[in-house]
Amino acid sequence: MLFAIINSLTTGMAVFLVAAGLTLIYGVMRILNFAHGAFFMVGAYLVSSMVGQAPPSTLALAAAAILAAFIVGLFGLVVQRVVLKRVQDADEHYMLIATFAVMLICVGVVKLIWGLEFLSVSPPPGLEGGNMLGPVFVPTFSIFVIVCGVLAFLLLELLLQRSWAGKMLTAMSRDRLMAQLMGLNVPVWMMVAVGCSFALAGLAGGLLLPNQTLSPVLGDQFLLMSFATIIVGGLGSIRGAFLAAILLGLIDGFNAIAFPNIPGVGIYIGLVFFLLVRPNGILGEEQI
Amino acid sequence: MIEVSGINAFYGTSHILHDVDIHLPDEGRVAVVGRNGVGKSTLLKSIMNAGPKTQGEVRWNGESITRLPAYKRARLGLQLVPEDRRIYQHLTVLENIRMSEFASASGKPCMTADELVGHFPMIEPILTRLGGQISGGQQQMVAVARAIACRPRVLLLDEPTEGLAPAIVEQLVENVRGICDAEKTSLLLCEQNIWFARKTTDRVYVIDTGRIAFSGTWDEFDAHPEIKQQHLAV
Ligand SMILES: Nc1ncnc2c1ncn2[C@@H]1O[C@H](COP(=O)(O)OP(=O)(O)OP(=O)(O)O)[C@@H](O)[C@H]1O
Ligand SMILES: [Mg+2]
Repeated sequence: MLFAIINSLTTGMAVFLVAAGLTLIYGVMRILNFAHGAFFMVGAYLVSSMVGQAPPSTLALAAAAILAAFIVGLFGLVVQRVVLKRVQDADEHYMLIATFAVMLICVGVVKLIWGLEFLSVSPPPGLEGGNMLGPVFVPTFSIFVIVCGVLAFLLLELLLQRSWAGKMLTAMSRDRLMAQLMGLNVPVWMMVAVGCSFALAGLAGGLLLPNQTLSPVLGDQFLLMSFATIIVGGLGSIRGAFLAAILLGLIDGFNAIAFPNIPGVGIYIGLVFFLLVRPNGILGEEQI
Repeated sequence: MIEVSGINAFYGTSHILHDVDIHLPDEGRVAVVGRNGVGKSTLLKSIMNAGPKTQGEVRWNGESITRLPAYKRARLGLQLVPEDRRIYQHLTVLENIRMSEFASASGKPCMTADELVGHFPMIEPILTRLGGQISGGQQQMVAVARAIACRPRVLLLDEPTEGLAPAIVEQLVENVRGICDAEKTSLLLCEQNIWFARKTTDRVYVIDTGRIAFSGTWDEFDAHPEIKQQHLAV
């Protein structure tokens, strides 16, 4: 049982790491970014190229992930300038199609650079193996993922709720018109937000790399889970995404034990259930 | 100061303003009055480039600013207090006011909280409250205070008296006149409250279904009672 819970939390926090950036960009720009998973994957590939298939140490992995976050964040700025900015005042459908196109291009480029074959990366020495917690075996890498997820959540909350820049970002997302009237350089703040969102995708890709099978479809798996998470949590809410990630993680874990022959169905049943009960998400009214 | 010439404004395909000309002289105080839905707010938003699509020209001290985005106009020293106030609920009153520092015109220091409280004693007890926890009247005061905090050159007020108690409206007359005198701020006011408009401005434009129907001093306005009959009576 405990083992199942730890497994669920690991899944949940892994998904949260990806969903955080997705909900952030929705909160600020009101777009569902289909390319988010693809850039998550780019982060993972970048880190795998940096550390190889056997990362030398936890520190090296973390450093590579941060570097990947930075690079993917820069890609975000380019995407914002070249694509999103042009369609931001157009109909929502154009946004969706535009981000979908970015995703296809991104996946195509990944295939060109890193090829089609599956790649797997093992955890660095410090995160290998595990410990016995009473009768259960807890993989160290699970603990690492959970700690990263919780840290990311606390840091984002702190930045958005307490710092002046975070408050301005929130202000811009709640009322962009007034922000402009107050003299906020909205295009620049948008760039910052998009850059942060993409950087989060890159960071997540790097941190979650070990134990993943790296292939050009990696992005899709996480994208679906992340969309479910931010929809259940309430679009644009970091807190909601955090809660929803834990909930969906638990549902998925329960699914794996109770119905091992139909894995992954629980998430969708959960999604439908929450949509019926709380169509705006758990914390739908409360945006970032 | 501000010269609006031949402005046409649109929301989608509906044509709201028709060839509107407005002149706001340096340190001038001008009112725009008109019934509900004739385009007063649309005019102010067009001047800020915040919302409607516009054709025509807006000049600032003789220079065309027609292409500037709203935030750059704010930084020139134009501050609009929108009719719906738009106080940020997740920020305290003081933080709402501090936000206006983004618009502070070149090097001019913004007002300190004390200075601002001098103009608006009403906001002193609520400075640390969240924007979502103050009354509608208080929100209106905060909206005006926030607009003047960084000493704009022009204040655009959209129906500031709406929803205020008579005693507070009288207070607001003193506030607005005091600020414009002290800071040499020009004022463009959209109002339905003729009494308030008369007290705070020297000239008046009457607007009806998107067109200017009259412009002149308040004395000239009074000399033509039929204007009131035709364009303002409900
Ligand atoms: N966002 C919008 N989209 C479409 N039409 C709009 C929009 N805002 C205003 N309108 C229309 O434009 C016209 C002018 O509206 P505006 O808000 O400028 O009037 P107003 O003179 O400020 O009225 P009030 O005194 O009620 O505030 C109205 O007919 C209104 O229905
Ligand atoms: Mg109006």
